[in-house]
Amino acid sequence: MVVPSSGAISLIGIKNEVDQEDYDAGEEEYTNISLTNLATQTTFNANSGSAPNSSTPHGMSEWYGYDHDAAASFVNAKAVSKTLSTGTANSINFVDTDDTFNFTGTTAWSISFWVKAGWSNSLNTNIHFFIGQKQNASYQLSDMIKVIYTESTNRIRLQYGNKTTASDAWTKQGEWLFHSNSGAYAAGYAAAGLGSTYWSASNRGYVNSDNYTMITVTKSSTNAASAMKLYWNANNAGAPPITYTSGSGSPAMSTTNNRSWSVGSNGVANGEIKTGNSSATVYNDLTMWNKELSASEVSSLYNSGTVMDATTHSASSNLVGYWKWEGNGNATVSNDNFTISGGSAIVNK
Amino acid sequence: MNYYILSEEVFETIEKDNVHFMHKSMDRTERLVATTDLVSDRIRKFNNINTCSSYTFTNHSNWVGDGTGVEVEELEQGGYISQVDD
Repeated sequence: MVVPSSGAISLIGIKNEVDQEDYDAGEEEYTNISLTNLATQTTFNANSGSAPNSSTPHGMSEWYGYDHDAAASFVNAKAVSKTLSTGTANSINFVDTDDTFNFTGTTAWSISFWVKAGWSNSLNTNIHFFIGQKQNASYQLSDMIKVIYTESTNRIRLQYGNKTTASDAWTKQGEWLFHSNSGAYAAGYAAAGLGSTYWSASNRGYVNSDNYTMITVTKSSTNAASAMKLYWNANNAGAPPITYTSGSGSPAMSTTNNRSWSVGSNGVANGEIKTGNSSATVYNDLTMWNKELSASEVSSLYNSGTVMDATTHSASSNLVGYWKWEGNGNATVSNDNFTISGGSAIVNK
Repeated sequence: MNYYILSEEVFETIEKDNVHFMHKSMDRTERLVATTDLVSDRIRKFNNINTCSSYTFTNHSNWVGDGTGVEVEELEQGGYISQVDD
């Protein structure tokens, strides 16, 4: 409990708040408590909405509402912009060395991010949203998970798989397309709101008030393309209507290899980075989860279009990676911070 | 599999069920096609999947808008669906 905001308050209670973050912690055998000592010897938590000043006289009422362990309020003012330039010098990436994100074909996982489309409808190629692959891989498919938008066919593709030699590749791939309101494609059509026109900066479909779309991909522990799902904002596009499977599923994706993770790229190890073309594509809060988020959990994360503090999400115990891009690429959850290079930059959302 | 560049008009005449991959040129007048059919009325024929991919990287300004090309992986995976890919 914080210091009450009105009425009678006690010196012992204030001391409890400062020492134990609990105004009602009980009576300790404190000695030499004084308003002066409390005010001058306390390192105040700047996250608290109220706190005494350091000037005399020190009044009891100055402590009204003080919260010594107040968490920082959630801020969503910044995002990360992927430069239009190509090349590894312009990457947004980190290398996971402690296997936090070594998802495999037989583990459940989810990846979610907000994206503001910056590509025109004449790019005629793929927009690479997010990829993880074996560090310094010889093959793009090595321990790979990637999410891309194939602009030339108006589909989001989620693909994972592995390749360790020239002849042992395997992959599972699902695609959702958005411009056909019939049969197996109708769910994607309804989810995206793009109509019959392809996704681009001039046709962003369903977006929040900042023109961002929250894209979430999930996978159960089943090693199959049909185990994937796509959500456009909170809209469930379901399992992929178009699937592609190649190879046997062996060798399994490694649980120990270091992996490079990159935003707006088709793989740091292979050196190519593709992105938008008319204006920069901008990404906001990125989360990675070690479970298959349910439809209701995705809906909760979407939060009616207001980017939320994912650490307060009901599935936060499964939140293993969280990057808010509020001023830098540092992680809020995990110890892996993105390095933002070259023309890629933190921008106002 | 056969790899061709076809005009838009010729592409409209071939059997779509046998088309494995299709990619439009930037000006939308030509089609890069992988098909199991033999097509004689073509703009260009490629000997194999690698030369086909390489051609798009060399001539990227005609085929993709970001300075790269159509990757071998994309050609292999195909995914052309005649009902929804115009």
